[in-house]
Amino acid sequence: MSKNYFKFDKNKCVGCEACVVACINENGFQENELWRNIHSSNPEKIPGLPLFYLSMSCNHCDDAPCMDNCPALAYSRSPITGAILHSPDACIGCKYCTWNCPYDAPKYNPLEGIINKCNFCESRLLDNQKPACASLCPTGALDFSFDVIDKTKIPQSVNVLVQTNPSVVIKELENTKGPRIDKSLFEPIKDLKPIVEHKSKITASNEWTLVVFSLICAIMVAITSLDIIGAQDLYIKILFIATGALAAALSMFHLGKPLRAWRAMLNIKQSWLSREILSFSLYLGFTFIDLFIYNLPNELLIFFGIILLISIDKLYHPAQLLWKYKIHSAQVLLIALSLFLLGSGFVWLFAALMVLRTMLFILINISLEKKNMLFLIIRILIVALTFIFVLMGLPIWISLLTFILGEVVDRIGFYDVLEVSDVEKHI
Amino acid sequence: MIEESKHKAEVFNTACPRNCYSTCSFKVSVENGLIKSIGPQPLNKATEEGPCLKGLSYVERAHSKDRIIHPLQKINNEFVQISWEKAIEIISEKLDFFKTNFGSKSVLFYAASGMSGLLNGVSSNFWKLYGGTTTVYGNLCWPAGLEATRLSMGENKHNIPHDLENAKLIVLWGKNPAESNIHQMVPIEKAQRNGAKLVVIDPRRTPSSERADILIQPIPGTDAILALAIAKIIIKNKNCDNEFIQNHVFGFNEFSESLNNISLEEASKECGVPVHLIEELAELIGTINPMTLIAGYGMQRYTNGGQTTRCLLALSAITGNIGKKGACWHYANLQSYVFDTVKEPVNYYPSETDDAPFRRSIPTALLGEKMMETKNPELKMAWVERGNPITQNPDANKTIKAFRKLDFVVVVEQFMTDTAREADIILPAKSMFEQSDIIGSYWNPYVQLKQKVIEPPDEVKPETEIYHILANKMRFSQEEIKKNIPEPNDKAIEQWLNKFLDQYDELSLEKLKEAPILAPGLEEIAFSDKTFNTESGKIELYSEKAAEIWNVNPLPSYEPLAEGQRGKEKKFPLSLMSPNTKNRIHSQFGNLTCIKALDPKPVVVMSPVEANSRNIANGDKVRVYNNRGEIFITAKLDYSIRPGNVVIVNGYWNSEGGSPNLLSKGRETDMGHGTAFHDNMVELEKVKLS
Repeated sequence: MSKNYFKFDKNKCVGCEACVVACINENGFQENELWRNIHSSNPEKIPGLPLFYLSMSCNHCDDAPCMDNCPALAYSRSPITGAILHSPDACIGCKYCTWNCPYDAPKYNPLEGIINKCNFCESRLLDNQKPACASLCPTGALDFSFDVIDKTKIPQSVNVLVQTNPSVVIKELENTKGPRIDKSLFEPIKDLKPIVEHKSKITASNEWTLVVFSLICAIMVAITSLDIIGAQDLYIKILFIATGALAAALSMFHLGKPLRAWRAMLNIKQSWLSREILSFSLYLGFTFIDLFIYNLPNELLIFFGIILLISIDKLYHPAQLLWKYKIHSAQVLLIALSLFLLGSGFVWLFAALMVLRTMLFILINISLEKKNMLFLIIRILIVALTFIFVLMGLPIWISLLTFILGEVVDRIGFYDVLEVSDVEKHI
Repeated sequence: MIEESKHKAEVFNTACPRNCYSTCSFKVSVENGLIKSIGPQPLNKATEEGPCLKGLSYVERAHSKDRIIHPLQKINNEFVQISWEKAIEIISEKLDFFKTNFGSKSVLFYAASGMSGLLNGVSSNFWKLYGGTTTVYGNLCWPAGLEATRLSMGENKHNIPHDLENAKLIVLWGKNPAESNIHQMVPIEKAQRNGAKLVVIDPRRTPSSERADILIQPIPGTDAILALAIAKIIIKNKNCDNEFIQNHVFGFNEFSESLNNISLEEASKECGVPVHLIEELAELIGTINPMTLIAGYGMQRYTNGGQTTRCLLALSAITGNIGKKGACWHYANLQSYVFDTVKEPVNYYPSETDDAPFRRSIPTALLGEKMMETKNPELKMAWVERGNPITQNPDANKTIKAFRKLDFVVVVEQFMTDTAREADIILPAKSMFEQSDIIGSYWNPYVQLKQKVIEPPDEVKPETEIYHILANKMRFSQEEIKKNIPEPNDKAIEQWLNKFLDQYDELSLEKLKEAPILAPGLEEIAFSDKTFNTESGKIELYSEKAAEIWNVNPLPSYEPLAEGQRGKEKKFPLSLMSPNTKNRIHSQFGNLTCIKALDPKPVVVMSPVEANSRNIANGDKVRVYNNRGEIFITAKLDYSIRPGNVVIVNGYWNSEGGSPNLLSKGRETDMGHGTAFHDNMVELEKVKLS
């Protein structure tokens, strides 16, 4: 089928950024993050490696992961131009689209608390004009067409991790060796390697609210499964539900637009984020009713709790694409299961699971570029301590606290190895 | 892609008047007196895809909130808005006072290359009526290369831009068109697709070198010895074009003999290029025809710039790569300057007689120093227009001192530049969209109209109008005013321009409003008739004149740099390069929001070799310094620059923290009264955070 698409020739682009200014002229100045960017394949100009530029903005994909995964239904496709449009009024500022887009097209603006992005210059398209960027490329590297795309050419175009059928066709580099350079100039340096380490967009310190939220969920669901709260006094019940409320507040204020948080549940059909928010609300709501108003069957609470944990684990998938093994020891389902086993007194099953999880932790760390030995040592130490405390028969709360401390470490380690598809890195 | 229909926008043709190779034609769309968008003008075959990012940034620049739109007076170190009447009154009183008490030459008239156009001549007319002033000679940019070319070939011209497609070998020697002349990358890419080889010679790995077959990174300032070594091999291997040499080259035998004194090994050591690479270059240049050798403007801003240019040009001459399709010595193409009776560089040489209206006694290369030294009379006042000398002239600390020593400074400016900050009165300057003018280009072959498309905002007045008011206020004779300064209205300006255009049947305002026009008398292939306007009528490798005028070797020769010699000055072991960037034309554009978003702060680029030995990490704050000044700036590490050198692109304002001219020395080039401010050694150290 014919469609609108960008055409880009790596052989012609010299990184002049005229397209970026053309975009600003057309769409207004874009505070904080420009809609179109020039990426360099070799920003530090390592000798012996070629350098090409990639002018990228939204590629208005046929299978648009931003749209599919947006919990608030802020994205839509223009029926006439095929442009993926984003509605600032519907956006809740959760940034989940920035995890899902392999082209770095959605740009978060912290001042407004919402996402902004390229709209394909839709009004120009409707006016039979090319997008501003494509009409003003001084070297003719960036162009635009309405045609049928030969799809066999797309997957190799950009080395992205998700195939999305983007509306872009890229002409590959013909001279893939780069200019011949006298490398001996840099002689004192033996290894001509990158100077600055590439930073992942997700880190535990940036996303600490998510770390806390997910841990609270895992622990609460485990406790629900143990069915011990109902028998406790009022203060314990209030403490339990208040912890849930804290998690809710944290996840809400993590949004750019907290007042629009309700919109997060609009995309149950497709988005794991919507499913997470909905199952969390139901779990917490029913737990509240169960504890303070009317006794509900515990199976119901466990049911929503498990759906919640599955949703949490699922929604991190776009950040696990680089992993060789798609499972992590700190998945919330595993955390909850471990706590459940410990709480139920299945000490040896608990031990077996913890050994398994620790092995998983090691495996993931070995398979990834980013290795974190310190975390590994701390993690193993805490697991060992938990065992010792349990076997020594110390009061259960000591073992539990030690266990939870271990889970915090594990979960932080999980966030530290999350990495979403990133043009800058995978160009 | 600008279309009129929908928004009732009016679309005009215009051209960019910046000091830039490309000199783009473009279309500008105007709505309700505002610049709405800018689009390509395909009728200019050299720039048909549209302007660069700077050209596009005019949408912001024309109406920038930072523009100076009223006359300003500095009172107690603060600028306050004053009326035009008041500004004119103060200035005219000062001008009278200085003339009466010290003579008119106590006033310095300083204009630079900020905006080109024929109307700039009106400024000189005014100052002539005033009785003459002191002014500068020489130029910051390109005279060493212009003079070297003029002495060798008689004039400065080259083939039209898209003839480059016909070349089979393109040598970019010290030029980075991807940033300084992006439209040249188009014919380069086409030539490569037709099988041409691309060689880049530059101490930096620039965006222009990414598609090159080979990148040679010599030590800055040693290009001459590299060229001579190449010439030696070409001659030894009998790869010269003997017929061309026989008929069109003067002094080949002397040149060839002089190369006997050069050993390949020593040359290799001097320029830092291994012998085998020099041999490879010689093989390429000696055997591939046609070759276009494109020399940039950076390397002739060293003390040996003129002689270096002659050495490079010799390679084109001995291989017969001049005056043919796909073959030229590509330095500057002055063919579109059809109204200049005396062309650059000769037109800005010092005055020969004392009674000339202008005392051209201050080399722009040593502006600050010589302003302070000027006597009989001493300088009391400066009038600056179209320029930002405090940022752009060498040895900024001296320039600042010299300006602060004056009693009175007037600066005509669009923005609060480093120089504007030193003014007593700032007069708001027009933008390119606010007055029509005729411009040429030193690269593309068109005569173009820079068209008035909007009224100047608020109280902005074009310079011609300022001078008209001032001339009346100062009671110059009405007859002289009429003859020398156009009336302040559009019709008078058009009549003024028509006086020039009427010299050529091909040119008229009406036609220029439609499209750029090829320069009358244009030679698409320069020197195709093999006529060289030199004494011998040939390309002069041996130039008696060069020796006579500039006291240099009559043959192309390598002269070591004045400052930039390795190991000469142990305290400052690194040579500082200050090339141009795509984000600015000299000190213009960098202040705009859309440019700042791409280039937020000045950086010094160095290789890990330099950084490691000084314990500097990427992103660290460093101090770059020498005996002339210091800059505190962020370190950027990459492998683009040959170790031993560091780079700070020029054009950052001092107020932004990074004009490399705080570190540069004022020196004249060996010929042409150019400015050798690329010859600077520095040291750098990590700034310890206290």
